[in-house]
Amino acid sequence: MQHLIRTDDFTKAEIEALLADAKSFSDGRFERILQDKLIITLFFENSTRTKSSFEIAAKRLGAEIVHLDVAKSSTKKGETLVDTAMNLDAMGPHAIIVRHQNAGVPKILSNHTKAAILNAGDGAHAHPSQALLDLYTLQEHFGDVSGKKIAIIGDIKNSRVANSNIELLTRFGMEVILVAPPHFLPKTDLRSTHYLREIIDEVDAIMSLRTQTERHSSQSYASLKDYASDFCITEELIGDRDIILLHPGPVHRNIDITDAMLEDERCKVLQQVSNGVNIRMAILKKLIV
Amino acid sequence: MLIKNAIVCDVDGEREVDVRIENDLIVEIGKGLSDSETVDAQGAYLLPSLIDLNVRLKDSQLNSKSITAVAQEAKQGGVGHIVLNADSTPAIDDEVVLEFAQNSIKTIDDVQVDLMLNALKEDMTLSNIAILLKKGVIAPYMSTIAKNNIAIKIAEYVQMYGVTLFCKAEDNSLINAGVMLDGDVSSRLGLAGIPELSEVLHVSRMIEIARYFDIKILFKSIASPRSVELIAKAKEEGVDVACEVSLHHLVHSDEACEGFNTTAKLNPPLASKNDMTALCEALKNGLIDTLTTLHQPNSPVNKEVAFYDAAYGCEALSDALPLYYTKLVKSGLLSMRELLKLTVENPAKNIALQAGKIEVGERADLVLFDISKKYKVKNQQSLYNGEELVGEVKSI
Repeated sequence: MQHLIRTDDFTKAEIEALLADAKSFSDGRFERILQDKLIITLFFENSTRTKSSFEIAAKRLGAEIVHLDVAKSSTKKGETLVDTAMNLDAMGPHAIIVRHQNAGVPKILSNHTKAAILNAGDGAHAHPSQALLDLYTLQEHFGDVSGKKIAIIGDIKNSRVANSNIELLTRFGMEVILVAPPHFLPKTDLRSTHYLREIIDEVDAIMSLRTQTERHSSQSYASLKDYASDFCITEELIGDRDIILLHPGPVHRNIDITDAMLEDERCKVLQQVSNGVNIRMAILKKLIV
Repeated sequence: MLIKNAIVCDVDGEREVDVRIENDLIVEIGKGLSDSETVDAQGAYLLPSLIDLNVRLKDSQLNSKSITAVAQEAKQGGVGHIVLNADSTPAIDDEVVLEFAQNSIKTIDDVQVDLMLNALKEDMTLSNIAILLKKGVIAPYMSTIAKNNIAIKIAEYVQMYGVTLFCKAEDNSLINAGVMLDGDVSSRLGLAGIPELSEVLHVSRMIEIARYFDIKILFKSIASPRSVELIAKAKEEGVDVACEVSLHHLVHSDEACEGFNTTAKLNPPLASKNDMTALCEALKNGLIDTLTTLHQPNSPVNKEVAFYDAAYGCEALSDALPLYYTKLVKSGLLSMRELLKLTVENPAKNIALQAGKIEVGERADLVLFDISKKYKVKNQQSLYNGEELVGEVKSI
């Protein structure tokens, strides 16, 4: 059984095929290939867009989808994750889509299920479907992304989106530059800087991240305003440069990106959301057809 | 009883002699001895049994069942003397708990079990250190979460009683924020990290306290080579400090946490690969004083959970001697004699004992260790599960 816990669970060839599927789905060419398939969603952490995106993807392909209300059901203290996995599996789903606030939970579940586990985000570890839709969006704009430079900006240390994108985009030949204050910069071999002005003239794309205040156990920056004074993507910064702008959402307006830049046509945030549904259809097809 | 044909090894070296034991004492050592009751130990080592100063009970629960279990595991691993960590539940910080623990220990006869006292109570005030020491506790233990005013008071008690202070260097504000070492592996796994500085800062601070009060401190389960360096430098300057390192920190790096392996979730966290290599160098250069298995067993309900929620610790005590032998001696890091210095002689010194020599008149705390035998570890809670270890322990 194949799972999708991290982007490196799929080979480059598998990802290329998956992106091609997403492309044909986006042209409206799909059938109910998941009829008679049961998919469970298990979201331990709140999510509106990712959950809906998966639900739309599953329904378009004809799958049955059941949302487990985690707050009211299992996984209280006293049960191991092995117990949780085996209980879910006993319901006979073909796939389980999991989001959890703790890194590693989908991986541990996948060690004990027959159903495919699809990681919809776990702590600061991985968010593979987001990185795949980001790659798709970049390819849509650039064609071949190899040799292009992208700056990832923000709370990289606490970001599963950054973690998955660093793995995936570098594998597809992009140069990833990390831009963050020391507070948010992981130990890394990648090129990194604290100053946006150092890289703004050489990058082809910018990925701004949401500051993960909820994942900080103690104060890590004086305030969002203080952070934004150096790292907000503004029209003054971008100027008339040929740079596209991505963000996994939800955007913290005027902290991550200014109102004006969000309206700019170089901003691909809504395109990312549309592409997300097609990518998730392709992922479901790959894992359970 | 006469043990014949063993390779007798102690802190002074190896020799092929026969050893006669009567009433738990070594009464004669020589060649060609004979006796009606003879054990032929051809090919096996005869060693002093090990001492481990850092043992915890299952789920840290202080009860007679878990004490008996841990003593059994020690015996299996060739460890004849263990000192239980004081940070159990309930913690050994008052007379009632101490008396209960001592009563549980009384029933154990083939392994010596001793207790530390927790110098800090849960509310961060001092426990009755003088009373607990006089009631037979072997050493006071403190975590550096103690503020300076309290740490100084503890140092003054230690000075008055002339004992060794067992000290765990850690920073309260940093350890609670993370679950493994802060580094590239923690970033990749998306797990919050504990910076190496958490330990180093407090080693540095406690060295000054040891210097000022002229007391002896044993730094427990050190994980950073920078701490080892600071301790070595302080020794050169005449400060009476020593450092303990766990076997795991010499064998495994933070990469063992990959795949969210909760068995590798240890306190202190496993070091980076470079730092692990540096710790092994320090071991070879004689900068590490004592070794421990850092035995900390847990129930599955505390381990088969998210990495964040998992309890710290792994099991190693029942494989102690084969592990030390396979990982440190057979691999060429240490000689058997050096291993015994680190696991018998030096630990004993920290609890005001002398051990490590096989001589006439000494207590016969000995084990036979047959290195022609091998076995595979079958323990989900061991970092060495599935690995083949060399050596079989036989108690005498």
